[in-house]
Amino acid sequence: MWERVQAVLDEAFARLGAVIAADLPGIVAMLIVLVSAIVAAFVIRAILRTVLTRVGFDRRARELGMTTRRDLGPRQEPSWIVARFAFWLVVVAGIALALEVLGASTMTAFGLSLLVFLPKLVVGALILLVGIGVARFLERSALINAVNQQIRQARLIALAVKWLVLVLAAAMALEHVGIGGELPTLAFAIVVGGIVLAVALAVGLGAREAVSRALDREARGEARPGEPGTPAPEDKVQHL
Amino acid sequence: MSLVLEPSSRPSEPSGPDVVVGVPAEPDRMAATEAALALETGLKEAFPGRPALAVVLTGDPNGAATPETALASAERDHPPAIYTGGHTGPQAALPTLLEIAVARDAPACALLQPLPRPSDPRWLRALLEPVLTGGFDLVVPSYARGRLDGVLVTGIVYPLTRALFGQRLRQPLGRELVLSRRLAQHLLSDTEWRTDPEHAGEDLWCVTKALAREVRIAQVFIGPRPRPAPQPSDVSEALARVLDILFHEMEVHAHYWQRVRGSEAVATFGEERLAEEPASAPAVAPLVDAFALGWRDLRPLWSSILPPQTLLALQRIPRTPPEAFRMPDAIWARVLYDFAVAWRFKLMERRQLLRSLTPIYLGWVASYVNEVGPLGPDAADERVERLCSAFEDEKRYLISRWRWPDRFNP
Repeated sequence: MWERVQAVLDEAFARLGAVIAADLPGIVAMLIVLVSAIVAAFVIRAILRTVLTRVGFDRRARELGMTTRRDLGPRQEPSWIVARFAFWLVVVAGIALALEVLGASTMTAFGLSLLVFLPKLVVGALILLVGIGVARFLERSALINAVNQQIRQARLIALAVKWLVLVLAAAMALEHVGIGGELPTLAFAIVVGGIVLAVALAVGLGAREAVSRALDREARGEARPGEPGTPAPEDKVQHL
Repeated sequence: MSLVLEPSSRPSEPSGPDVVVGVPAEPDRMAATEAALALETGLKEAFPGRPALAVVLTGDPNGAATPETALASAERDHPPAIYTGGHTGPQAALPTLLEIAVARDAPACALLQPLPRPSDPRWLRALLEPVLTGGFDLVVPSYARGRLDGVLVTGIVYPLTRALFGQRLRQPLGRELVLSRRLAQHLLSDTEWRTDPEHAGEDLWCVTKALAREVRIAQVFIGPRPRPAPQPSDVSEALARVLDILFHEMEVHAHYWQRVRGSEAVATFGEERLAEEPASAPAVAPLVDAFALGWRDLRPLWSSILPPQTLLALQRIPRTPPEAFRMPDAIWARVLYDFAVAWRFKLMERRQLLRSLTPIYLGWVASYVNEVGPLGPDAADERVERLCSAFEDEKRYLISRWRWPDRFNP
């Protein structure tokens, strides 16, 4: 009986040895790819960090309103965030490549789909990033201009501008990445359409009299408040 | 700088004039033509026997060959020369004038606005003599103003240039200048015409260059302004434009103004008189409202520019009643200095930064109107003097923030 057990074990170890011998090069190659990807990720992070700092990326991000404070922690500056994003991108790409190198059929399919998906994800993230910057810049612009025009709802206007741009950027990013199919575009169209309808209704119902007064003034050729001819009290200030 | 001068033909034009007076053709070329003709007559009467030239300066690349000019020339036997220099746009008048003055070797040149002038040419003599015979390099014409006229100049430009450069030039934002040949040559050779055309050629640019170069500067009071100064349709835009030039010049001349302490009077000719004023002062309630609205909505933005103690001081100013609204001079000076530092370090997009100052500026205007409204001319002057002293006292704060901005980080 022990001879039979011995024979079965020998056969099993032989088969295992054969499998290991067959797959070992793939595993070694996978490990090499993985380690190389991690090393490359560190190098890319360092290079990106240096280059972005040198070209004043943090300052420009601050000007755009993506950060509001100058005394951010040492690893919270926008250049660090971008460098860290690039680091993880390279690591994920390395894992996908490593799975491809391993050659296991399921793993290969997963790795391939990951490799195809990554560029779309990067561009989508870039669209979102630019969208956030533009949204915050326009929000600030709208806020300052509305306050200087003495509009009481300045914050509301600024918030609307910000979210409109953010929703547009998110819809564009999602559409590019391919998440949700036509849903983001449809959702965006519905949101914008709803806002336009709401504003139209609000102006039509709430400001009907003001609009009619303005049209009357226009028809009679009278000056509007604030125009030369009807000076507001504050216009009497001689600034220059 | 390339010298590109294209005058319309004038056979009787003096080849080596003692004085060149230029009038900007934009925005009203016909008015400029009229003004140049009147100035030419005035120059002949003011300086008999001395060759003088009055020209129209345009930034239009078509130069003298526009239909308007042709019409103006056809209507007159003796139309003024129209010069186009190597610059285009609304700021082209000054560099073109400098090019003409240097090319013609004129001892003095003047840039004057097309305004209706007194028939008596004594005002021209008063304006040009300091350069022609007094050895001055820059003369800034000053018009009689009311106590509440030109609050942007009184509240920002005058105290700031005075504190920075140590010269008490009362109206540095006049759009009119008289320059010596020496200063004209110096300005013309400045590299900023190429490197920074956005700022080069502005009146404040020219004045601050002269202040930083420590040339001899004089101001001449030439009576009431013939026509009220045009007011900006958008205050925040005007504020941003003026502050942008001022802060830019602060940055360029930082090595100079950090050494300047106190201030001294500049040579003054003529009598400073107050202009006639409207019976009522501007209403302050809308100005205080603008400040309160700005405080409510822009405070998060200001908190990245102003230190907490300044924000606290602004918060503590009582808004009601509007007639009691007072902004302390030291706080106003610090606010401007903090914005200058924020502009330097680009804490946010510069245009947005400068426009966001508008509510605080309107608050200061309300405070100034409240204080100066009931005062007489002498007391109003003393009030402006106190404001300027506050700017000079707070200059140490500016220097500290300019050198070590992070030490005061909000």
